[in-house]
Amino acid sequence: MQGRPLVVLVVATCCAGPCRAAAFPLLAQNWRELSPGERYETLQNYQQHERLPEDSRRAIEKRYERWQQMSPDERERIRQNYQRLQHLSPQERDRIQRKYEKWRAQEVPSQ
Amino acid sequence: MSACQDFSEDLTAWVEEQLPAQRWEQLSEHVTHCPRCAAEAHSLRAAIVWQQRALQAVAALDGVDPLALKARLRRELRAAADDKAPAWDLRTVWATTFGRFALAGAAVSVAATVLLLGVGPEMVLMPLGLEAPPPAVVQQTDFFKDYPLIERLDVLEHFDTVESVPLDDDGSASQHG
Repeated sequence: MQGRPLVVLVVATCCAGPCRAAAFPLLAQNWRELSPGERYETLQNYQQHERLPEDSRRAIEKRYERWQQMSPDERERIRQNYQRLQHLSPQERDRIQRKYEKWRAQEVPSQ
Repeated sequence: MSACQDFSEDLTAWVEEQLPAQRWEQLSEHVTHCPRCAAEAHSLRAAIVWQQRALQAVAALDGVDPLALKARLRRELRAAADDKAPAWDLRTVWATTFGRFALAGAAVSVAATVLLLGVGPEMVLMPLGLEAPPPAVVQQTDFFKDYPLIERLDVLEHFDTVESVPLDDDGSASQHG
């Protein structure tokens, strides 16, 4: 699973080259700017999102709206935190999640 | 062959006698000895004569300055040709031996990737730009690109605070290692 983006990236880099710009010139600039590896991961994320139940999808879309309203500094801080999270082991990530749930329960007590 | 390529860009200007003297003489020398370029020059000359007659006819009808119209047409056609000229043309690549090997290699790579990863071909073709992605992905590329981060936005926003929250099993977790 971990190696898939790498394999796609290698193959894509070998044979994509200049053809991607010529193939779909009318697509949004943003998609065109991504590397083949990034596109692969973006598509995977899209498929994951599509598989979610409607309420879960809505929740994530609301988070995205909040993300869009954040300042560049705030986004940068969150990106750094994401990098920190990525470097943790699965057990440590699980602990962070449990800590978050405990903290949230204290911050927003259930009715 | 390379000489022809070198001269072909200026052939129209040569026919219209719009080149600097030295360059014009170089082309004249080449066209004298190259039947292929001579034939192309002949064809260009015929086209230019036809173009001038057409422009004169239009100018006579509308009172338009034929030289200005000709210059404008040339500009427009050149701009259109530049816009439409593909940065990459499959036929051009296929025309060379290396190109054929490269295309065959690319096709085998795509097929092998599809087989090895067990994903649909669209998961290879879309990243390569050979198939259009779903419209939602194009419209919200940022969203799907940063999806893993946005999924965990709540935790990440309060990461430092959350990290310092003690868990009930902290002591036992460290004892059990």
